Amino acid sequence: MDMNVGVLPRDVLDTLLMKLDGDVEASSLRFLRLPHPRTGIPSLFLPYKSSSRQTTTILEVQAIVPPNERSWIMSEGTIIGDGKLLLMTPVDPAFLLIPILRSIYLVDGSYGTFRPADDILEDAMKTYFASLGGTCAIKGDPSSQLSQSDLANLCSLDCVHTAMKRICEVKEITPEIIVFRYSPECVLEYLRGKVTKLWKPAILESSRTVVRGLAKDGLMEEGNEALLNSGHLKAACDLVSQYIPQDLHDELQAFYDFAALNAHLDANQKELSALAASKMSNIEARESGKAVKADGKKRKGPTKGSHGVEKLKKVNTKGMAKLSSFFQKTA
Amino acid sequence: MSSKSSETTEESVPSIPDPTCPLVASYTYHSPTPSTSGPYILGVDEAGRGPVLGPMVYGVAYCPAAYREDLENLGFADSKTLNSSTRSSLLRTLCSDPANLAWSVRILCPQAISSGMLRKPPTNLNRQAEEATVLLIREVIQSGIQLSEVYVDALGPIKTYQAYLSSQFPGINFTVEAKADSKHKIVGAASVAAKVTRDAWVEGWIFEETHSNGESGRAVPVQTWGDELGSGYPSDPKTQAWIRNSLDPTFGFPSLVRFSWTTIKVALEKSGHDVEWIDDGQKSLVKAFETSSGRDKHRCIVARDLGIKNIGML
Repeated sequence: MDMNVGVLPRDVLDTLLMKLDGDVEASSLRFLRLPHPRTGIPSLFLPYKSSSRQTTTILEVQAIVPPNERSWIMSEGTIIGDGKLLLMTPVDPAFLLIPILRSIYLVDGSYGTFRPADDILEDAMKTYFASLGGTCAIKGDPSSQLSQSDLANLCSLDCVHTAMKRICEVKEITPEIIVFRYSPECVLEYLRGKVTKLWKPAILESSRTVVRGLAKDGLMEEGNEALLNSGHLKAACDLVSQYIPQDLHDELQAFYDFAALNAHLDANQKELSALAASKMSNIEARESGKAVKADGKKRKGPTKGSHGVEKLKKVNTKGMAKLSSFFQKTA
Repeated sequence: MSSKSSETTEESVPSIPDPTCPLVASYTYHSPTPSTSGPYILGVDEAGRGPVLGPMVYGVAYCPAAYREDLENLGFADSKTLNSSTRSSLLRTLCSDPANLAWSVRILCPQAISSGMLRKPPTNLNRQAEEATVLLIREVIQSGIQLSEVYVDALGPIKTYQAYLSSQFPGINFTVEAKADSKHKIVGAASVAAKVTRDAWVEGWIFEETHSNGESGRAVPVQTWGDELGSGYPSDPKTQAWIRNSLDPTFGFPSLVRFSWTTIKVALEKSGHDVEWIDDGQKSLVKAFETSSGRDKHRCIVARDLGIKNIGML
């Protein structure tokens, strides 16, 4: 049995342990392969129902894999060769739902009609699967094949039904009949809400990666406060982009005004290119300078032989055997 | 190697406070400060410089200058010419007249020796020896002893070392000589202190790697190592055999072994796993320039930077 090291919510761990003890209810814990909203490639997720709350939470399963190999050395002395660290964190089901519901909208371009949740989900699943399913998204990687049953499992979850109203227009026909229609405007507004929540220096600057990125672009310097604000906004959008398709990210960014920031970044880029170009020409000048010098010496005239060579030239070779007499023609 | 209790029916070595504990760090031992008034003469010698296993021990012995004549009759000589039981009995002699005779040792554990030599920039063995010598002399002086003459076995160039020591301790007459232990009995005494201490550590060596964890009381189940260390010198076939049999391709050797020794470096190079030093490599740099594809496409900056990826299976 493979051993893995991971970070996951405590109550999931408790549930996993209950499963190992043979708790029947806990055995409903099952990994699903669902299309990742950003890439569309099936990846691991884990829905679970915690004992404390009645709703299901979906965990995104990721691995931290640094470029240099690592291994785990466990305290009992065993070694796990693969040094990846699993990371299971809750993900907003709305993200998972967006590409699926969007597939109908993308197919016929119209907003469609208002329909009950189950209807729309079933249709969306079929449409989505038809547009992608069958082949492996990644050649040679069987885990990248979309599973229709896993997709169906997702759409049956209560948290997914709850997510519908965040990204759809909702009409309550009667208290029992509620209908939905996928709304791109709702989606963008929802995403902007997330950006706003993230657009806080306290949150963004808690990440060393983000701070380094801002500093590298010169946004942390005195006098650049307005640009830094823009930089923060862009960083917030970037974080949200982790969970949405690229084209939605472009639409999201288009809503904000990044003109000043982009001008600043372009100017930075031009400066860097100019610096690199001048460095290159310095290097080239040095190298071609060397070539010029070498040619110069040659152009000074025929090189004078050394003292010894000149002396030998003056020797009287009369009576001496010719050098060629010492050699015989090869047979 | 036999346990301390079966090997010696004699009393334990004073410079080893607890023979049941492994040697994990360098330390200093001082015998009680003698009460006779000075000035004192002091001898410095060492044991275990050449071996590839175990600690290197620097020893000093000191007595009042007036006691010099008495010292002649105690039997001290170059410790290498004496056998182990003679040396043990001489250590008892060294402890027998605490009003006049005293000794101290500085035990440099094998890992301290190795780390010093492997550091960048390195602290070579000579420098470590000088530091140990200076430390011992300084601490003796600090205990209230006035030193008039100090005799030291030569380390390298004699004049330089003599000048260095004189600059560290003005007012003391330093004599740095080759074979000082046979020329001066006080150095012979220091030699005994150092040798007996080192031998006791090596013969009674407890591997910290298998030493049971005091907290949990649980011994970590790892391999054990053979008893037959030989003399500890890299030229000794028994020691060579022990080294060959004790090499672990991942972890190398236990802390008994001086990793800075060429013998060991060669053995690890030959039979240990190949080592790739990631600091020297450029994997992360190369990775940063690769265009991402598949599940890694268009990741946000944090995911890219921290190596966070989605996976298709565990």
